[in-house]
Amino acid sequence: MENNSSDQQQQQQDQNSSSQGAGEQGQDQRVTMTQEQLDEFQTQIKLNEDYQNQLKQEIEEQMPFISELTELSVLKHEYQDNKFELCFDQLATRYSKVRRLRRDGNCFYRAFLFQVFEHFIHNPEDPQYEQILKVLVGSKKDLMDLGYDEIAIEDFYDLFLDEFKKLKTIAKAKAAEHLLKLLCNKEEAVYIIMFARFLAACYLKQNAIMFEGFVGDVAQFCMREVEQVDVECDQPQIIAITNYLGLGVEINSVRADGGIEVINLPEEGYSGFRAKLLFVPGHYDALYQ
Amino acid sequence: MVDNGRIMKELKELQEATKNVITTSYQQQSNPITLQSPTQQVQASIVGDNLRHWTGTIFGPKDTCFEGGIFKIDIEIPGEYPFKPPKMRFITKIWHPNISSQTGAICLDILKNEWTPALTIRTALISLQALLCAPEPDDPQDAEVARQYKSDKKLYEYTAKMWTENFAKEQTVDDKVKKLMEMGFPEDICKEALERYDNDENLALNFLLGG
Repeated sequence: MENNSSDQQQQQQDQNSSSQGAGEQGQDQRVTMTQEQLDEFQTQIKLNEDYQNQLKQEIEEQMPFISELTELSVLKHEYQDNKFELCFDQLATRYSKVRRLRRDGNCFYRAFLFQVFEHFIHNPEDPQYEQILKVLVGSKKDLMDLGYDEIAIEDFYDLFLDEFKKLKTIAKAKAAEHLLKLLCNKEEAVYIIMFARFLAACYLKQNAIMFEGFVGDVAQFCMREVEQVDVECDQPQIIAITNYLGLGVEINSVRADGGIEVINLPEEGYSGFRAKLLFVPGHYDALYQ
Repeated sequence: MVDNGRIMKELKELQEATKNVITTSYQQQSNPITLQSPTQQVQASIVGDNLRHWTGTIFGPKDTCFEGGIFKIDIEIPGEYPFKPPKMRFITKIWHPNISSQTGAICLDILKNEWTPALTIRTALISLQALLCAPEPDDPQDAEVARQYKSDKKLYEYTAKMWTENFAKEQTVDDKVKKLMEMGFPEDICKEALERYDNDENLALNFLLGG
């Protein structure tokens, strides 16, 4: 007990004064060094983060969030002498244009939402619209049933739902202009994409048993890989968001042998709208005929 | 998009929690069995008139070294909130491997890279409470505390309890009077000194020693 309380005093002395006896100083230095190493370690992490942020910034400045419609041949030209170059010849038999996405970790979500929203502006009578609207209206309750705080999700929910309802009022000729504005900014676009991430997380958590074999702890996965502002999207998230909304995607994935692998999600038994995407490792763009 | 609306809602919810605690404690006196312990609650209030600067309160969890302690947390809400985490720091001194004994800085993943906008300040405070239940010495904020935790758990527990006792417990005026009396001052003079210095124990003691 005596030892304990003198150690306790030592602790308090450490904070209050810097002048110590020689023997204590030796011990102190060791303690300080360990703390220094710890601080150094944390500083290093911070520096790495700063560096990554700087890289991100540089990437951002090079590229709009979503480009205007661009000839597919531009991509082929960029991949000249690359193993993927020939893929674009094969892709050109089915598609002629591309909207290129900023590589900010949101490319899948932004490309997917752009094409889905665009589809419903062009086809306001598509019965899928009402089905999805119903799912969206119910999504707040679904998320809250999973334990999400109403305060945390409602701003995202309200904005997404409002914008989805508004699609019916947008003139077809203004579709691209409207969506380039809606999805290309650092304000409401961030909210809309974040809500898409919540929807993916919702399906993942509702069907945790189905996914945990692939992603491990589903709650952890959602926190680290889904609900972050800038973490890119892998197949589990794509399966989740398309299933939750009852939508489809056609992913045209470049192959090292110069071919294109077409991945349809859902694979079969679905005849509704599919967003048409190009996948080169680590990145999605939106394809157009 | 500056999202003060959400911050207002979060604050209101936490302030209502504060009210509930008061009601619960009151009811508990008359009906101690049926009601939940108020110590599970977390609270927050705004500092001055800055909507982005709060003080949070968490209660030391039962059956831990922090039981009975009331811990104040400084909360700064950045402009990018809820996309960036709130900045939190212990104001009340605490002896815990993941909290700096010097600065109150906290090592908790959800306050750093694992923060998501799906979380709220309330859920973050609850996570802090959980951190008090389950220290993680392998991911330390305070190397000295972590080392003690791993090498001499009993000493760690003793120190943590002492710190809770000394820094995290509100003392009544009577307690303070008693303490000063133990130093050999007469009761009425102790009371007078405390009154004069707004119940600040240290200032009262200085006054007594100086006078």
